[in-house]
Amino acid sequence: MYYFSIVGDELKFLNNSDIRIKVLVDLLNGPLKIRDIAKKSLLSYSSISSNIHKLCDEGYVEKIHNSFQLTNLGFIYITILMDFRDVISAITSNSDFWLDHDISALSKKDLNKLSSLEGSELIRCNSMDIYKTHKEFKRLFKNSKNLKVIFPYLHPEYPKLIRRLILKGIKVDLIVSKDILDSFLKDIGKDVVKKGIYEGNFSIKYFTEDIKIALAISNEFVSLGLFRLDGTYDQNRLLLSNKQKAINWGLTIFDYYDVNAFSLILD
Amino acid sequence: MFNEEDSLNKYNDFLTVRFLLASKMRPLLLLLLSDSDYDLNAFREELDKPSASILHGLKELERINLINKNFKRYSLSSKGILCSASLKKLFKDLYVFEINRDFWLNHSIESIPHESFKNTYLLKDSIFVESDEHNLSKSFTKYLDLLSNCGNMEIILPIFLEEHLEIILENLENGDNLLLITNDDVLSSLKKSKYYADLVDFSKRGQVIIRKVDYDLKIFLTICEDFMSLSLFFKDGLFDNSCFILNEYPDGIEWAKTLFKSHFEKSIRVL
Repeated sequence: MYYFSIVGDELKFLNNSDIRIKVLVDLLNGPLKIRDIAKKSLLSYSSISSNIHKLCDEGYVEKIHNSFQLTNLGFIYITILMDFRDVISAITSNSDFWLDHDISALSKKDLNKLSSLEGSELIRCNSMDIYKTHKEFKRLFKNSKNLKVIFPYLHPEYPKLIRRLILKGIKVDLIVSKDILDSFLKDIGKDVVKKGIYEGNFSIKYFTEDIKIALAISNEFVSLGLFRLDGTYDQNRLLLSNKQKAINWGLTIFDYYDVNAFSLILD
Repeated sequence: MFNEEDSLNKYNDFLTVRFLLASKMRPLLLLLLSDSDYDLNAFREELDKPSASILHGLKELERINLINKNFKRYSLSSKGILCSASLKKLFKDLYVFEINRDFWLNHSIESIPHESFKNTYLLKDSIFVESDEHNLSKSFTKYLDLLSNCGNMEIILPIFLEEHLEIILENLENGDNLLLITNDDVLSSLKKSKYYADLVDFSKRGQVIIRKVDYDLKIFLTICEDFMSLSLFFKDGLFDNSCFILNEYPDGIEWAKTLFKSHFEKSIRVL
């Protein structure tokens, strides 16, 4: 509340007018004359002129000869606002992924970097394809050169898939909840687990507390699945991104679980 | 001349942003609900606003699924939790600029990468150490004092000052390490100075690494175990020795390390 009391008025001033935001966004590319902005935005010369002068009065824009350019503050404010817009876009464009789901697995730091998920694609099952997320998950796995996965649940096909990847020499790091560890090991095959660990291309750790996130990260993608508020895993939705910033976001979450998980000790 | 599609895309998504920020009531409601559930009476007591405007704000937030209403009590939806967390970050991101607008307006920010501005919430506990008419060297003295208790040092040095080097050498004598990034001008002054031979000796002992960049450095950044300090140049190109930003918290040091890294990656080792 304290921080809002300091910055709230300025944010209200900037966001009260669509034109002010448009002008700041346009000026990010460099100085412009009012008529250039008018041509670009199809707004009237007079409404741009009046708003640009208000922006000058508040210190966001300055006049250089006949053109206008962002001040440092204008540049900083619009850069930060565009980052905020990316977060809001990541949330609203995948609204039903985030709505009514348990997001307790995401730390404050993860939430502060949500803009990394901007442009993600929501894979959703539908009546014509009720296994769409599952198929997509499998497809991504098959093409990966390395893989880090957090499994909070067991699907009979996943251990088999992991087994094939280990045997192909793909680097796989797994974190699973303790409840499903034994079944996972059994289904991968203890001989393959041992081989993978021995050859250094496989590791498996377990988490004693409830895991409320399904996360898979490879060299090419990150996918994220969440639990519903009733405690069941939502198999119908999967958030997917192939952007590097999203992959890095996923890696930070994986690293947190990795540090706090227990290593498997084989006989 | 213009890439209109690109420009349109850039501000099209601002609709929801503007919905959230063009009113003071909507962010206030989201912030309050991030701490606990509320009913209308509790909102009224907290905000000292008429029921009608509170209810109007609540309805708008409910309409886009940011809040839930259950038996007259309001709570955040999971989507609302995300929006509220993002709003908090936004307010903290802007805080360090809003408390000293003149400082940011008058100084060059060209050596701070754009990405660093997206994480300035990490700087929220910073203070501006400023000289005043009672003590013109207040910021300089304070910096030297901090530097002398620094421990291991990571410094981006765009200016040459003997006082700095004397303290840095004292720290090195005490066993601390130095990772220095500088430019050609400062490096050349360093080489001509009486301190360079000592720096070379410490480098041979593995305590000193000096790297240089081939562009103008417009920041003086110091990162130690317990603090980070950042000085900037005025827009006219002169160094401002009358004010620096000081942050003595892990978050501020983390922000500074990211900034340091961005210059480190463009530097080459010279000692």
